[in-house]
Amino acid sequence: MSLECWNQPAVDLVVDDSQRGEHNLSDYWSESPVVLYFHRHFG
Amino acid sequence: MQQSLGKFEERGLRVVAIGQATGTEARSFCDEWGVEYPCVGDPRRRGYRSLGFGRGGWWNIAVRSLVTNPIETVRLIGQADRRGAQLKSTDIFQLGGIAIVDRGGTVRALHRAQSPQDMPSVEEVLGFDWQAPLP
Repeated sequence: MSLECWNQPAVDLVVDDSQRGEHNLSDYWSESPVVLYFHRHFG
Repeated sequence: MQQSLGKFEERGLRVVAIGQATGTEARSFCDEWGVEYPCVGDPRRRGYRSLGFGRGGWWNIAVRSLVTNPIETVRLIGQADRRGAQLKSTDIFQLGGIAIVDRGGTVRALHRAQSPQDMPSVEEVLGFDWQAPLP
């Protein structure tokens, strides 16, 4: 149940954002380091 | 998470929530919960696959926690908002995880959940030295 150090290029992908429309996930990390929380599902 | 958003920002980290949903569905859930950080949808689970977040089975998803911690599990089930699990794009066996990605696009920290409860605390994520020199 812990984070591990990692060193691997992130695979960029298109995500669906209701405010910005479809865009690349890299749009976030190009602005600042980002914590990506992948939820099992919302709720 | 929302309550700790300022601490992430103090550390120069942006938070993005990703779920098995369309962008509209994702934002709808997050608006309802008062979440101010970006909430985006990955309905085809490409991000999950690219980071190696696996699928559990009945044992990982439900039975183990019922056996090992029945009272807490029943409490969580009672509190759960099941709408997300019922979305067309949701695979209920999909497990989640956390990745910290630096500005260069490198994954610097990763956690692949082994069960629904297996997620690091906010304190652990905030305390993790993701800027340590790469090996």
